[in-house]
Amino acid sequence: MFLYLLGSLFLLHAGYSSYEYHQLQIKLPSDIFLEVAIAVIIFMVGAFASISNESFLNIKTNEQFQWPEKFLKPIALSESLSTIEKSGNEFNGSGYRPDFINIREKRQEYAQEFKD
Amino acid sequence: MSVSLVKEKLLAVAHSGAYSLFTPSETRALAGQLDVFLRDHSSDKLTPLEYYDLLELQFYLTLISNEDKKAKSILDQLQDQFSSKDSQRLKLMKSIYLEAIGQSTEAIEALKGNKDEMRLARRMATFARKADNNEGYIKNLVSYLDLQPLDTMAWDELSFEYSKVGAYNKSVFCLEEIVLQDPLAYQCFYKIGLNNYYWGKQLMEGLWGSSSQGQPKKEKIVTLITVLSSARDNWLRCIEIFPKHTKSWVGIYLILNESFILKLNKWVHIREVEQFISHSRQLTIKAESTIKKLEGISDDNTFHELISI
Repeated sequence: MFLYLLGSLFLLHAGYSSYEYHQLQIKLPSDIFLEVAIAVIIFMVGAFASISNESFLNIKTNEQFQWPEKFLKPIALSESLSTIEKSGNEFNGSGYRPDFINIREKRQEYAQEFKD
Repeated sequence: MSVSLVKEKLLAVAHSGAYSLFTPSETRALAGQLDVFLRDHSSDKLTPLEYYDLLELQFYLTLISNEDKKAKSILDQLQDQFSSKDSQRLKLMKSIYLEAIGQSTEAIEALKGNKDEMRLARRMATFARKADNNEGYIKNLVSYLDLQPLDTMAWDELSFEYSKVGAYNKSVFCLEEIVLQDPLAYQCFYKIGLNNYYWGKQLMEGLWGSSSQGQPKKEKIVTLITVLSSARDNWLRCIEIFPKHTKSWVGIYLILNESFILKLNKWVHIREVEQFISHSRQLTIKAESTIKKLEGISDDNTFHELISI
Protein backbone atom coordinates (compact mmCIF):
# COMPACT_ATOMS: atom_id res chain seq x y z
CA MET A 1 0.00 0.00 0.00
CA PHE A 2 2.84 2.34 0.95
CA LEU A 3 4.56 1.68 -2.39
CA TYR A 4 1.33 2.46 -4.29
CA LEU A 5 1.11 5.77 -2.40
CA LEU A 6 4.76 6.64 -3.02
CA GLY A 7 4.44 5.78 -6.74
CA SER A 8 1.29 7.94 -6.99
CA LEU A 9 3.08 10.91 -5.35
CA PHE A 10 5.99 10.65 -7.77
CA LEU A 11 3.61 10.45 -10.73
CA LEU A 12 1.59 13.42 -9.52
CA HIS A 13 4.72 15.43 -8.98
CA ALA A 14 6.07 14.53 -12.42
CA GLY A 15 2.69 15.40 -14.00
CA TYR A 16 2.53 18.78 -12.26
CA SER A 17 6.14 19.62 -13.21
CA SER A 18 5.40 18.66 -16.80
CA TYR A 19 2.31 20.96 -16.76
CA GLU A 20 4.46 23.85 -15.44
CA TYR A 21 7.07 23.36 -18.15
CA HIS A 22 4.37 23.24 -20.83
CA GLN A 23 3.00 26.55 -19.52
CA LEU A 24 6.44 28.08 -20.01
CA GLN A 25 6.79 26.27 -23.38
CA ILE A 26 10.16 24.84 -22.42
CA LYS A 27 11.34 21.39 -23.45
CA LEU A 28 10.83 18.84 -20.65
CA PRO A 29 14.08 18.11 -18.75
CA SER A 30 15.24 14.49 -18.46
CA ASP A 31 14.69 14.35 -14.66
CA ILE A 32 10.89 14.38 -15.24
CA PHE A 33 11.18 11.34 -17.50
CA LEU A 34 13.38 9.76 -14.85
CA GLU A 35 10.82 10.52 -12.16
CA VAL A 36 8.03 8.88 -14.22
CA ALA A 37 10.21 5.81 -14.80
CA ILE A 38 10.95 5.55 -11.06
CA ALA A 39 7.23 5.96 -10.23
CA VAL A 40 6.31 3.13 -12.63
CA ILE A 41 9.00 0.87 -11.13
CA ILE A 42 7.76 1.62 -7.59
CA PHE A 43 4.20 0.85 -8.75
CA MET A 44 5.30 -2.49 -10.22
CA VAL A 45 7.21 -3.45 -7.07
CA GLY A 46 4.13 -2.49 -5.04
CA ALA A 47 1.92 -4.62 -7.29
CA PHE A 48 4.16 -7.66 -6.80
CA ALA A 49 4.41 -7.06 -3.06
CA SER A 50 0.62 -6.91 -2.77
CA ILE A 51 0.21 -10.41 -4.22
CA SER A 52 2.54 -12.12 -1.77
CA ASN A 53 1.32 -15.53 -0.71
CA GLU A 54 -0.23 -15.80 2.73
CA SER A 55 0.40 -18.84 4.84
CA PHE A 56 -2.52 -21.23 5.49
CA LEU A 57 -3.79 -23.63 8.12
CA ASN A 58 -4.40 -27.35 7.86
CA ILE A 59 -8.17 -27.81 8.13
CA LYS A 60 -7.85 -30.63 10.67
CA THR A 61 -4.73 -29.95 12.70
CA ASN A 62 -4.48 -26.13 12.50
CA GLU A 63 -0.82 -26.54 11.61
CA GLN A 64 0.46 -23.51 9.71
CA PHE A 65 2.13 -23.90 6.30
CA GLN A 66 3.75 -21.57 3.78
CA TRP A 67 3.63 -21.63 0.01
CA PRO A 68 7.05 -22.55 -1.46
CA GLU A 69 7.55 -19.07 -2.98
CA LYS A 70 6.89 -15.73 -1.34
CA PHE A 71 5.24 -14.31 -4.46
CA LEU A 72 2.99 -16.11 -6.93
CA LYS A 73 1.76 -19.67 -6.57
CA PRO A 74 3.55 -22.58 -8.27
CA ILE A 75 2.78 -23.16 -11.93
CA ALA A 76 3.81 -26.83 -11.90
CA LEU A 77 0.79 -28.91 -10.93
CA SER A 78 2.78 -31.40 -8.86
CA GLU A 79 4.35 -28.62 -6.79
CA SER A 80 1.01 -26.91 -6.31
CA LEU A 81 -0.65 -30.17 -5.24
CA SER A 82 2.08 -30.80 -2.65
CA THR A 83 1.06 -27.57 -0.97
CA ILE A 84 -2.68 -28.17 -1.32
CA GLU A 85 -2.26 -31.62 0.30
CA LYS A 86 -0.73 -29.91 3.34
CA SER A 87 -3.95 -27.94 3.81
CA GLY A 88 -5.78 -31.23 4.39
CA ASN A 89 -8.37 -30.24 1.82
CA GLU A 90 -8.87 -32.36 -1.27
CA PHE A 91 -7.99 -31.06 -4.73
CA ASN A 92 -11.10 -29.51 -6.35
CA GLY A 93 -13.11 -30.71 -3.36
CA SER A 94 -13.52 -34.07 -5.07
CA GLY A 95 -14.06 -36.84 -2.57
CA TYR A 96 -16.41 -34.81 -0.36
CA ARG A 97 -20.10 -35.60 -0.59
CA PRO A 98 -21.84 -33.22 1.83
CA ASP A 99 -25.22 -33.54 0.08
CA PHE A 100 -25.19 -37.29 0.68
CA ILE A 101 -24.18 -37.01 4.33
CA ASN A 102 -25.70 -39.70 6.52
CA ILE A 103 -26.69 -37.29 9.26
CA ARG A 104 -28.13 -39.89 11.63
CA GLU A 105 -25.01 -42.03 11.44
CA LYS A 106 -22.77 -39.00 12.04
CA ARG A 107 -24.83 -38.01 15.07
CA GLN A 108 -24.64 -41.54 16.46
CA GLU A 109 -20.87 -41.66 15.97
CA TYR A 110 -20.55 -38.32 17.74
CA ALA A 111 -22.80 -39.39 20.61
CA GLN A 112 -20.84 -42.62 21.05
CA GLU A 113 -17.50 -40.82 21.09
CA PHE A 114 -18.63 -38.26 23.65
CA LYS A 115 -21.02 -40.30 25.77
CA ASP A 116 -20.29 -38.32 28.90
CA MET B 1 -2.82 -17.77 15.27
CA SER B 2 -3.80 -15.05 12.82
CA VAL B 3 -7.52 -14.27 12.58
CA SER B 4 -7.39 -14.06 8.78
CA LEU B 5 -5.83 -17.53 8.56
CA VAL B 6 -8.59 -18.98 10.74
CA LYS B 7 -11.18 -17.25 8.60
CA GLU B 8 -9.69 -18.66 5.38
CA LYS B 9 -9.58 -22.13 6.90
CA LEU B 10 -13.20 -22.01 8.08
CA LEU B 11 -14.38 -20.75 4.71
CA ALA B 12 -12.39 -23.49 2.95
CA VAL B 13 -14.15 -26.12 5.06
CA ALA B 14 -17.55 -24.50 4.47
CA HIS B 15 -17.10 -24.32 0.70
CA SER B 16 -15.58 -27.77 0.18
CA GLY B 17 -17.94 -29.70 2.47
CA ALA B 18 -14.93 -31.35 4.13
CA TYR B 19 -16.81 -31.44 7.46
CA SER B 20 -18.88 -34.33 6.09
CA LEU B 21 -15.85 -36.62 6.46
CA PHE B 22 -14.59 -35.31 9.80
CA THR B 23 -14.26 -37.62 12.79
CA PRO B 24 -16.26 -36.68 15.94
CA SER B 25 -13.17 -35.18 17.61
CA GLU B 26 -12.33 -33.13 14.52
CA THR B 27 -15.96 -31.97 14.34
CA ARG B 28 -15.89 -30.91 17.98
CA ALA B 29 -12.61 -29.00 17.56
CA LEU B 30 -13.87 -27.25 14.42
CA ALA B 31 -17.23 -26.37 16.00
CA GLY B 32 -15.43 -24.83 18.99
CA GLN B 33 -13.15 -22.77 16.76
CA LEU B 34 -16.07 -21.61 14.63
CA ASP B 35 -18.13 -20.59 17.67
CA VAL B 36 -15.27 -18.46 19.01
CA PHE B 37 -14.63 -16.91 15.61
CA LEU B 38 -18.27 -15.99 15.00
CA ARG B 39 -18.61 -14.61 18.54
CA ASP B 40 -15.53 -12.37 18.27
CA HIS B 41 -15.25 -11.42 14.61
CA SER B 42 -18.60 -11.80 12.86
CA SER B 43 -19.04 -8.04 12.52
CA ASP B 44 -15.53 -6.83 11.69
CA LYS B 45 -13.85 -9.57 9.66
CA LEU B 46 -16.60 -11.02 7.51
CA THR B 47 -18.61 -9.84 4.54
CA PRO B 48 -22.34 -10.73 4.74
CA LEU B 49 -21.83 -13.55 2.24
CA GLU B 50 -18.96 -15.04 4.25
CA TYR B 51 -20.95 -14.68 7.45
CA TYR B 52 -23.90 -16.68 6.11
CA ASP B 53 -21.58 -19.32 4.65
CA LEU B 54 -20.06 -19.80 8.10
CA LEU B 55 -23.48 -19.80 9.71
CA GLU B 56 -24.48 -22.64 7.38
CA LEU B 57 -21.33 -24.53 8.42
CA GLN B 58 -22.18 -23.90 12.07
CA PHE B 59 -25.65 -25.31 11.47
CA TYR B 60 -24.27 -28.61 10.13
CA LEU B 61 -21.64 -28.89 12.86
CA THR B 62 -24.15 -28.30 15.65
CA LEU B 63 -26.52 -30.81 14.09
CA ILE B 64 -23.77 -33.44 13.95
CA SER B 65 -22.91 -32.56 17.56
CA ASN B 66 -26.53 -33.33 18.59
CA GLU B 67 -27.19 -29.72 19.63
CA ASP B 68 -30.64 -29.64 18.09
CA LYS B 69 -31.87 -26.45 19.76
CA LYS B 70 -28.87 -24.46 18.61
CA ALA B 71 -29.18 -25.90 15.09
CA LYS B 72 -32.86 -24.93 15.00
CA SER B 73 -32.04 -21.43 16.15
CA ILE B 74 -29.46 -21.01 13.34
CA LEU B 75 -31.93 -22.41 10.81
CA ASP B 76 -34.60 -19.95 12.01
CA GLN B 77 -32.13 -17.08 11.74
CA LEU B 78 -31.33 -18.03 8.15
CA GLN B 79 -34.98 -18.55 7.27
CA ASP B 80 -35.88 -15.12 8.69
CA GLN B 81 -33.14 -13.54 6.62
CA PHE B 82 -33.89 -15.32 3.35
CA SER B 83 -37.56 -16.30 3.68
CA SER B 84 -38.51 -14.29 0.61
CA LYS B 85 -36.18 -16.34 -1.59
CA ASP B 86 -37.03 -19.84 -2.74
CA SER B 87 -33.61 -21.11 -1.66
CA GLN B 88 -32.43 -24.61 -2.48
CA ARG B 89 -29.83 -24.44 0.31
CA LEU B 90 -32.41 -23.55 2.91
CA LYS B 91 -34.73 -26.35 1.81
CA LEU B 92 -31.84 -28.78 2.05
CA MET B 93 -30.89 -27.55 5.52
CA LYS B 94 -34.46 -27.81 6.71
CA SER B 95 -34.82 -31.33 5.33
CA ILE B 96 -31.55 -32.49 6.93
CA TYR B 97 -32.65 -30.98 10.24
CA LEU B 98 -36.00 -32.79 10.10
CA GLU B 99 -34.31 -36.05 9.15
CA ALA B 100 -31.85 -35.68 12.03
CA ILE B 101 -34.62 -35.27 14.59
CA GLY B 102 -36.45 -38.30 13.20
CA GLN B 103 -39.19 -36.68 11.09
CA SER B 104 -38.41 -38.45 7.82
CA THR B 105 -41.81 -37.87 6.16
CA GLU B 106 -41.58 -34.12 6.78
CA ALA B 107 -37.95 -34.20 5.61
CA ILE B 108 -39.02 -35.72 2.26
CA GLU B 109 -41.85 -33.20 2.02
CA ALA B 110 -39.38 -30.33 2.53
CA LEU B 111 -37.43 -31.43 -0.55
CA LYS B 112 -40.38 -31.40 -2.92
CA GLY B 113 -40.63 -28.59 -5.42
CA ASN B 114 -38.64 -27.80 -8.50
CA LYS B 115 -37.31 -31.00 -10.08
CA ASP B 116 -34.35 -29.13 -11.58
CA GLU B 117 -32.87 -28.42 -8.17
CA MET B 118 -29.97 -30.83 -8.23
CA ARG B 119 -29.03 -30.74 -4.55
CA LEU B 120 -32.58 -31.56 -3.51
CA ALA B 121 -32.78 -34.42 -6.00
CA ARG B 122 -29.52 -35.80 -4.60
CA ARG B 123 -30.86 -35.64 -1.09
CA MET B 124 -34.11 -37.29 -2.10
CA ALA B 125 -32.12 -40.30 -3.33
CA THR B 126 -30.64 -40.84 0.15
CA PHE B 127 -33.96 -41.69 1.77
CA ALA B 128 -33.69 -45.28 0.53
CA ARG B 129 -30.50 -45.73 2.55
CA LYS B 130 -30.66 -48.48 5.16
CA ALA B 131 -27.98 -49.59 7.58
CA ASP B 132 -28.16 -53.28 6.65
CA ASN B 133 -29.12 -53.13 2.97
CA ASN B 134 -28.06 -50.54 0.43
CA GLU B 135 -29.74 -52.14 -2.60
CA GLY B 136 -32.57 -49.60 -2.69
CA TYR B 137 -30.15 -46.74 -2.23
CA ILE B 138 -28.00 -47.96 -5.14
CA LYS B 139 -31.14 -48.23 -7.28
CA ASN B 140 -32.10 -44.66 -6.39
CA LEU B 141 -28.64 -43.37 -7.19
CA VAL B 142 -28.64 -45.16 -10.55
CA SER B 143 -32.04 -43.63 -11.41
CA TYR B 144 -30.80 -40.20 -10.36
CA LEU B 145 -27.65 -40.58 -12.47
CA ASP B 146 -29.78 -41.49 -15.48
CA LEU B 147 -31.20 -37.98 -15.19
CA GLN B 148 -27.98 -36.22 -14.09
CA PRO B 149 -25.10 -38.13 -15.68
CA LEU B 150 -22.63 -35.28 -15.13
CA ASP B 151 -22.97 -35.18 -11.35
CA THR B 152 -19.53 -36.30 -10.16
CA MET B 153 -20.53 -36.17 -6.49
CA ALA B 154 -23.28 -38.72 -7.14
CA TRP B 155 -20.91 -40.96 -9.14
CA ASP B 156 -18.51 -40.84 -6.20
CA GLU B 157 -21.28 -41.77 -3.79
CA LEU B 158 -22.42 -44.65 -6.01
CA SER B 159 -18.83 -45.87 -6.29
CA PHE B 160 -18.56 -45.82 -2.49
CA GLU B 161 -21.77 -47.80 -2.12
CA TYR B 162 -20.66 -50.41 -4.68
CA SER B 163 -17.31 -50.75 -2.87
CA LYS B 164 -19.14 -51.41 0.39
CA VAL B 165 -20.91 -54.44 -1.12
CA GLY B 166 -17.81 -55.70 -2.92
CA ALA B 167 -18.96 -54.78 -6.44
CA TYR B 168 -15.52 -53.37 -7.25
CA ASN B 169 -15.91 -53.59 -11.03
CA LYS B 170 -19.01 -51.36 -10.87
CA SER B 171 -17.25 -49.04 -8.47
CA VAL B 172 -14.40 -48.66 -10.98
CA PHE B 173 -16.92 -47.78 -13.70
CA CYS B 174 -18.36 -44.98 -11.53
CA LEU B 175 -14.93 -43.55 -10.78
CA GLU B 176 -14.03 -43.65 -14.47
CA GLU B 177 -17.07 -41.47 -15.14
CA ILE B 178 -15.56 -38.89 -12.78
CA VAL B 179 -12.12 -38.84 -14.41
CA LEU B 180 -13.79 -38.38 -17.79
CA GLN B 181 -14.96 -35.00 -16.52
CA ASP B 182 -12.00 -34.18 -14.30
CA PRO B 183 -8.89 -35.76 -15.81
CA LEU B 184 -6.66 -34.28 -13.09
CA ALA B 185 -8.57 -35.78 -10.15
CA TYR B 186 -5.59 -37.80 -8.99
CA GLN B 187 -7.41 -39.15 -5.90
CA CYS B 188 -9.90 -40.75 -8.30
CA PHE B 189 -7.09 -42.52 -10.15
CA TYR B 190 -5.85 -43.76 -6.78
CA LYS B 191 -9.34 -45.04 -5.91
CA ILE B 192 -9.67 -46.75 -9.31
CA GLY B 193 -6.35 -48.47 -8.65
CA LEU B 194 -7.50 -49.52 -5.20
CA ASN B 195 -10.83 -50.89 -6.42
CA ASN B 196 -9.09 -52.79 -9.22
CA TYR B 197 -6.70 -54.18 -6.63
CA TYR B 198 -9.59 -55.47 -4.49
CA TRP B 199 -11.33 -56.76 -7.59
CA GLY B 200 -8.12 -58.63 -8.50
CA LYS B 201 -8.06 -60.05 -5.00
CA GLN B 202 -11.62 -61.33 -5.47
CA LEU B 203 -10.74 -62.90 -8.82
CA MET B 204 -7.64 -64.46 -7.34
CA GLU B 205 -9.65 -66.02 -4.52
CA GLY B 206 -12.05 -67.43 -7.13
CA LEU B 207 -9.17 -68.87 -9.12
CA TRP B 208 -7.59 -70.39 -6.04
CA GLY B 209 -10.87 -71.95 -5.08
CA SER B 210 -11.34 -73.44 -8.54
CA SER B 211 -7.73 -74.59 -8.74
CA SER B 212 -8.40 -77.16 -6.06
CA GLN B 213 -10.94 -78.77 -8.42
CA GLY B 214 -8.85 -78.41 -11.52
CA GLN B 215 -6.53 -76.09 -13.44
CA PRO B 216 -8.05 -72.59 -13.67
CA LYS B 217 -8.92 -71.49 -17.16
CA LYS B 218 -6.45 -69.34 -19.00
CA GLU B 219 -9.09 -66.69 -19.78
CA LYS B 220 -9.71 -66.16 -16.08
CA ILE B 221 -6.02 -65.66 -15.46
CA VAL B 222 -5.80 -63.20 -18.34
CA THR B 223 -8.78 -61.28 -16.90
CA LEU B 224 -7.04 -61.18 -13.53
CA ILE B 225 -3.86 -59.83 -15.11
CA THR B 226 -5.87 -57.17 -16.99
CA VAL B 227 -7.44 -56.03 -13.71
CA LEU B 228 -4.11 -55.96 -11.87
CA SER B 229 -2.46 -54.11 -14.74
CA SER B 230 -5.27 -51.58 -14.61
CA ALA B 231 -4.67 -51.10 -10.87
CA ARG B 232 -0.99 -50.53 -11.50
CA ASP B 233 -1.60 -48.16 -14.43
CA ASN B 234 -4.12 -46.05 -12.54
CA TRP B 235 -1.75 -45.67 -9.60
CA LEU B 236 0.93 -44.66 -12.09
CA ARG B 237 -1.41 -42.06 -13.57
CA CYS B 238 -2.02 -40.72 -10.08
CA ILE B 239 1.73 -40.45 -9.53
CA GLU B 240 2.18 -38.81 -12.91
CA ILE B 241 -0.12 -35.99 -11.76
CA PHE B 242 1.11 -35.88 -8.18
CA PRO B 243 4.48 -37.62 -7.72
CA LYS B 244 4.40 -37.40 -3.93
CA HIS B 245 1.24 -39.51 -3.51
CA THR B 246 2.66 -42.07 -1.08
CA LYS B 247 -0.44 -44.30 -1.03
CA SER B 248 -0.16 -44.93 -4.78
CA TRP B 249 3.53 -45.79 -4.42
CA VAL B 250 2.60 -48.22 -1.65
CA GLY B 251 0.01 -49.81 -3.95
CA ILE B 252 2.59 -50.27 -6.68
CA TYR B 253 4.99 -51.77 -4.18
CA LEU B 254 2.37 -54.19 -2.87
CA ILE B 255 1.20 -55.31 -6.27
CA LEU B 256 4.13 -57.68 -6.58
CA ASN B 257 4.92 -58.23 -2.93
CA GLU B 258 1.62 -59.32 -1.49
CA SER B 259 1.45 -63.04 -0.95
CA PHE B 260 -1.56 -63.56 -3.20
CA ILE B 261 0.18 -61.88 -6.11
CA LEU B 262 3.30 -63.95 -5.54
CA LYS B 263 1.09 -66.90 -6.39
CA LEU B 264 1.06 -65.60 -9.95
CA ASN B 265 4.50 -67.12 -10.41
CA LYS B 266 2.71 -70.45 -10.74
CA TRP B 267 1.31 -69.29 -14.09
CA VAL B 268 4.43 -67.55 -15.33
CA HIS B 269 4.36 -69.73 -18.48
CA ILE B 270 1.35 -67.68 -19.66
CA ARG B 271 2.68 -64.77 -21.73
CA GLU B 272 0.44 -62.10 -20.11
CA VAL B 273 1.49 -63.17 -16.62
CA GLU B 274 5.16 -63.16 -17.53
CA GLN B 275 4.85 -59.69 -19.09
CA PHE B 276 2.99 -58.31 -16.07
CA ILE B 277 5.58 -59.62 -13.63
CA SER B 278 8.56 -58.41 -15.64
CA HIS B 279 7.02 -54.93 -16.18
CA SER B 280 6.08 -54.53 -12.55
CA ARG B 281 9.28 -55.83 -10.97
CA GLN B 282 11.34 -52.75 -11.83
CA LEU B 283 8.52 -50.52 -10.61
CA THR B 284 8.51 -52.27 -7.25
CA ILE B 285 12.18 -51.42 -6.72
CA LYS B 286 11.52 -47.81 -7.71
CA ALA B 287 8.45 -47.71 -5.41
CA GLU B 288 10.46 -48.94 -2.42
CA SER B 289 13.15 -46.29 -2.82
CA THR B 290 10.55 -43.52 -3.40
CA ILE B 291 8.46 -44.46 -0.35
CA LYS B 292 11.60 -44.42 1.80
CA LYS B 293 12.53 -41.01 0.41
CA LEU B 294 9.04 -39.51 0.81
CA GLU B 295 8.57 -40.80 4.35
CA GLY B 296 12.18 -40.19 5.40
CA ILE B 297 12.79 -43.87 6.20
CA SER B 298 16.31 -45.25 6.16
CA ASP B 299 16.05 -48.82 7.47
CA ASP B 300 14.12 -51.79 6.11
CA ASN B 301 12.33 -52.66 9.37
CA THR B 302 10.59 -49.29 9.59
CA PHE B 303 9.71 -49.56 5.90
CA HIS B 304 8.07 -52.98 6.34
CA GLU B 305 6.20 -51.70 9.40
CA LEU B 306 4.81 -48.84 7.30
CA ILE B 307 3.78 -51.19 4.49
CA SER B 308 2.03 -53.55 6.89
CA ILE B 309 -0.12 -50.64 8.15
